[in-house]
Formats: sequence, C-alpha cells, structure tokens
Amino acid sequence: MKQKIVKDLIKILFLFGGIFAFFYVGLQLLSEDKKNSWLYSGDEAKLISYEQEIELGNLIDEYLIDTDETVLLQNELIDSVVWAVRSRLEKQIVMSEYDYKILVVDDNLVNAFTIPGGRIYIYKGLLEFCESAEQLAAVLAHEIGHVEKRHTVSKLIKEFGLKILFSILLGELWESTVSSAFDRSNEKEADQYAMELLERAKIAPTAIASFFRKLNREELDYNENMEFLMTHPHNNSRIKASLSYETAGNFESQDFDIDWKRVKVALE
Amino acid sequence: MSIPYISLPQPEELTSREKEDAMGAYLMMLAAFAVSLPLPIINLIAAIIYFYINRKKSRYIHFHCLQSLLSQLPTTLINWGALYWALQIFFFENVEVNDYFYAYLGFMILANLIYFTFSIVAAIRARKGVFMYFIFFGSYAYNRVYSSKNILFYDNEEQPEITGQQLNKPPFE
Repeated sequence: MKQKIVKDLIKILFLFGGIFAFFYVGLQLLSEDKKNSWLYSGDEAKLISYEQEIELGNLIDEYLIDTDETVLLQNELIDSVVWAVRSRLEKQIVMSEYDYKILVVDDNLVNAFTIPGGRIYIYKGLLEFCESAEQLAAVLAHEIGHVEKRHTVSKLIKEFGLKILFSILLGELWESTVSSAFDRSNEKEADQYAMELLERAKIAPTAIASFFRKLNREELDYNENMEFLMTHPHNNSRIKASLSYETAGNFESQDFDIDWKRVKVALE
Repeated sequence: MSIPYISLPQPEELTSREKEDAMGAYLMMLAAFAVSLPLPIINLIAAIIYFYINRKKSRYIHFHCLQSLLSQLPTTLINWGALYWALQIFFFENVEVNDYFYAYLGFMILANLIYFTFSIVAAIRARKGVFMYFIFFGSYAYNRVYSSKNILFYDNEEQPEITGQQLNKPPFE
C-alpha cells in the first residue's frame, strides 16, 4: 500500500511539473510579436485616446497649480534654457501626438515628474543638481520617453485598478503603499528611448551615465528625493547601459551653447 | 506483512445523512475555496474545521473529509505562490513579469480547474455512496481511515468493550 502511495506521489509531482513545463514551452514557442501583444504590451493605455489623455493632463495641471499650490518658477534665463533643450529634443521626436510643455517648479527638491498629455515638471533643485545642459537634456529625454511610450496613462490605469483591488481586499490602509514610480521595465524602456532621442539630437547618450554618476556620488543626500529616477533599475546598470549604447559610426555630439554657470547663478 | 483493512461499506449500507455529509466535505470546501480565492487561507481554515467536526461521525465521512482536505493542499500552496509572486511584481515591484510567471499562472489555473472538476465529481459520487479515489490523496486517505490500525472511534460503530481492570473511574457514581 505504501508503495502505491509513493508511486502516486511521484505521478502527481510529474503531472504538476508536466503542466508547468507545458505552459513554459508553449510560451517559448510563441512568436515574440504575439507574446508581446498578448502578455507584455501594456495595452492599458489604448483604453484612453490621446485627446482624453490631453484633457486629463489639463485637469491634473489645473489641480497642481490651483489646489496643490505648486508654484512655477518665473525666470527668463531659465525659461530660455529649458526652451533651448526642449526644442532640440522635440525636433527629433518622430510622429508625436503631444505638444510638450516643460514647467519648472520653484522648489529645491531634486525631482521631476510627468503627467498624461505631455506636461513635464522639473524642479529647481534638479536644475541645480545638473552639471550641464546635456545632463538636463538626458533627464528630459527620459521623461519624454515615458510620455511617448504612454507609461503615465498605463500607470494611472494599473494603479487605479490595483487601488480598487487592494481597497476591497485590505481596506484603505494599503492604498498609500502603491508605488508612485514607474515599474522597472518602463524605466528601462524610457532609458532606451532617451538614448536614441539624445543620439538623434546630437547629444552624447553618455550624459545619462554622467548624471547617474553624480547621483551615485551624492546618493546619501538625495536618496529620498530621487524616487522618479532612482527606484528602478539600479543606477549602476543604467550607467552601464548608457556607456555601452552604440551610436552610429558618424555620430558627432554638439554641445549646447549655454553657460551653465550663469544658469546656476540665476537659480540661486 | 500486509495491513488488514476494514471492508468498505456498499451504497445501500450507508445512511442518507452519511452520504450528504460526505458530499458536503467537497461542496463546502469548494464554496470556501471560491470565496477565499484572492486570499487563499480561509478555505484551509474552513476545511480543517469541517474535518474535525465531522470526522468521527463515520468512516465513510472521515474518508471523504480527509481526501477533500488533503487534495486542496497543493492548489492552496500553488495559489499562495501565485499571490506572493504577484505581490512581489505589482505591489512591491521587486521582480519583473516574465515567462516563468505566466507559465505559473497557466499552471495555477489548470491545477485549480482539475481540483474543482474532481471535487464536483467526487461530491456527486459521494452522494450516491460510491467511493472515488483521487490520485495519491485517495490511497492515503483510505490507508489512514480503513486500516485496522486506525484507532478512532466512530459514532456509528460500536465501541470495543473494555476488558480487564478499570483503572480510571469517574469522580462520582
């Protein structure tokens, strides 16, 4: 009898292993295109049209300025610098549905965030943190990557769904712990997009690496504020990815004609 | 040396109550399982309570309660695994969604379907007074319940007479 029980146990283990292997092998046999569109696409964004996304962005912007009392920095020099960086990047964006607006928040936090519809908010603290216009371009290119890949909309839908689920299951207590950062794959995708955009705009993609190197050096001071860039993936892997990015053979970078020391003075 | 087993009751020897309680072992756990799908712990607690309340009623009920309880352990563990993995991905964001995760989800869904199907069939057969043995769990439950080594006293069986000197006596007559 015991022998039969042991045999049955082995059979059941094989059965379970077989089922798992069946699904895994089945996934490997699927073409990458099908797999991506069925499983990894982040198709949530398709639920909202570009027009709706822009409307949503306008509403969030109104909320931030009117209700949340976000104060925007009014400084001609800073505005012209941001405009110069933005327009150089924007010219290289292929088939964009967005009319980008880059707004500088008068706050010393080292932070930046993107809302649906193409609005990117960068903090004064981030401008102070950057050592060059190229580093600022790297950060903006990354944020533009989130916009173009519609991560903001996907995140909104995912978190809205998750919040509802966890509110039902566990009450409101857990709601606030849902991360406000993008997930790792989104960050990687935005980094990749940023490197390609920087290359097209004739800005060395290594600007990303230099930004993160500075971040690594000053991580202790800025750790709490850098959620938007630091959470995923690890800084070192991003530095590595940026340094190993291969530009076209005839690539030549053209530095911005911006006196960054003057920018720093204007920010003080 | 083989262990002697107690002969199995035939459908006509079983009372309606026994058949219903045996069927209830599967149906109650199925209901608890469905309710506790997002948090797969309630079904296990319900199963253990049902098992301890009913197991002494008769060997037939004990067998079905035990088979039902044991057979849901793998699916419960698999569901715990899926919940843990999903939380790590979507809530704590420590790991990424990958092919292993999707394969595991497929495996979990199929395992649950198998469990549900077998439990429903077993419940119908238990109601008719017919034994149905699940792979491994059926053999184990039979070995446990119908072996002569099983010393549990059942409500519907005569308890063996105590022979020899009675050392333990009630405090008063």
